[in-house]
Amino acid sequence: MRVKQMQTPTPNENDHTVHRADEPNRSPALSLSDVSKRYPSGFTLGPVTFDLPLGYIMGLIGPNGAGKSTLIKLIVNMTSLDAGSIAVFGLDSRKDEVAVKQELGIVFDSCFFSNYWTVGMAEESMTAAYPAWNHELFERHLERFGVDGKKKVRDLSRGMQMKLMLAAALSHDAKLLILDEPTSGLDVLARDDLMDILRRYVEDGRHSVLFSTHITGDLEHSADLITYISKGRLYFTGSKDEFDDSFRLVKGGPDQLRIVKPTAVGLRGYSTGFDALVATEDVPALLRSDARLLVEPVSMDDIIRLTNGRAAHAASKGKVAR
Amino acid sequence: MNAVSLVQVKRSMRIDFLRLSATGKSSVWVIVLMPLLFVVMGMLGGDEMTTFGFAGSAVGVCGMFASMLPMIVASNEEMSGNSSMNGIIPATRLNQVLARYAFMIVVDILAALEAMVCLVLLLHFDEPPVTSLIGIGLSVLSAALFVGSLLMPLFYRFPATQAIGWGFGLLGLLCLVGFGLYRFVPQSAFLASKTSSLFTTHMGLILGIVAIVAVLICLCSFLISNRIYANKEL
Repeated sequence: MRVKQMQTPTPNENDHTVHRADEPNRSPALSLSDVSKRYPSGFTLGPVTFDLPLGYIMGLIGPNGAGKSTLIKLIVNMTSLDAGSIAVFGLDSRKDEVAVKQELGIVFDSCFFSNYWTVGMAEESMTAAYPAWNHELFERHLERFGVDGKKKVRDLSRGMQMKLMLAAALSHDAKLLILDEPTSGLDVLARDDLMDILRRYVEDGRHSVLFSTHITGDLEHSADLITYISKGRLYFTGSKDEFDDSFRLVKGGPDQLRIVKPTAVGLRGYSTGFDALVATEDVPALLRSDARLLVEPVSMDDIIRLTNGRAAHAASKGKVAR
Repeated sequence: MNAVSLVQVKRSMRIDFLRLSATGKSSVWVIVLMPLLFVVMGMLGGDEMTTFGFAGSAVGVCGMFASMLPMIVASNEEMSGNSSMNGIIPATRLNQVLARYAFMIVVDILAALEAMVCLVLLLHFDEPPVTSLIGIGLSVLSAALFVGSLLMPLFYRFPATQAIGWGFGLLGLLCLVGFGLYRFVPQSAFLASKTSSLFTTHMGLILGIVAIVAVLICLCSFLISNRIYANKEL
């Protein structure tokens, strides 16, 4: 499976691009160039290259252990780079670390505030850290999210801790939000609310969001761009529509497997047949070989499932992956 | 160090103070007020020996707390899941380490001052007390700096529980080596008695040397901590 590099993103119907058309050329909010990292355990991430333009929401997707959190840690300079470079608003994330971090609002998958702190102390820490801290805005976010400002962090539920981090990330005039699995622990209503907030956040075309998740449903109505990584490899980066259109789900019986196998990017076999992930451009050729094959549109979950399941792994060993 | 670095150090120190008071601001007051409790007990104690005992305890407690406070910050930070916050705040790693050491030095100086206040309140000095007080203050400061400098890199290198274990192990080892030398190597006992007599005649000089050594150890400790922290995954 090859990497699809992003072209100019295609606007979708929730579009905010009207504001962008006449804007001068500016540096992307985030730009990764051949970023890679190798761990002693053998896990290797990268090389990863993508741009996140201003005014867009990018979903960073992949199964657990794909390298999403590692990539976010690299962006935030919480771990060292082996190769490549990362720029935030044109500034080098290493050399201009402090200036870069002033512009970032960050939410991790677990709460970074001390469990012993009250919500008030968490705010004190943010006040100390960010000169642009806005107390009124923070209070408004807490109220909107229903976070009790008098409680200790450890007494908040996981969902409430997420909301606290989100309220903090939104209250210091950050230009780029980086959210690592922010929806885990949130109920459906809170997730919808979060998506609304993110959409409104990027509306002015001056803010961007990088949003990692393995719950792809979160991205259906909010993400403009998708970056898909799996087992440390960048599989795709580009517009969401392009991502959806790039692959098709091909189904067939056991006797048709040999036709599909050479072109399948991912494969899962059953006793009664198979599901194969095939690049859209390869579908006509397959149908010419066997018109009985069933071709369906593919969901993000199908793509993740078929490029990561045991069957897919076996298939890739069989040199099916290209 | 420029103004930008100073701002970052100040930021990190404020967050460190929040980490210290994470278990309740009252606990900070207990730490500050406990030596004074010894002073009150010493005043009520009666005979001279008891007063001396309480004075010694007050000084000892000041020194102990001064050595421990930065470690409490480090272990609170880790045990409360607050370490990753260091990765997001707009302060370089170098300035975060600088802030932690500055925090330690400030705490140590305050502890030394508190020890001196306790002694002034408890003891009657025959001579003008300035020299003896400065001497004791410097001793507390040097001892606290030495212990803190020894422990700090361990907290950067190991998880808190392991660092505490390593720290106590190292301090225990140092005590054992000292005791062993004194007990079994006759020359070291002779040297100790000479130093002791030198101390009475040249106290200022010896304390000055001790203070300089403590500062040098602190500097080395800072360099080691910075090196460890620069490569650490947060």
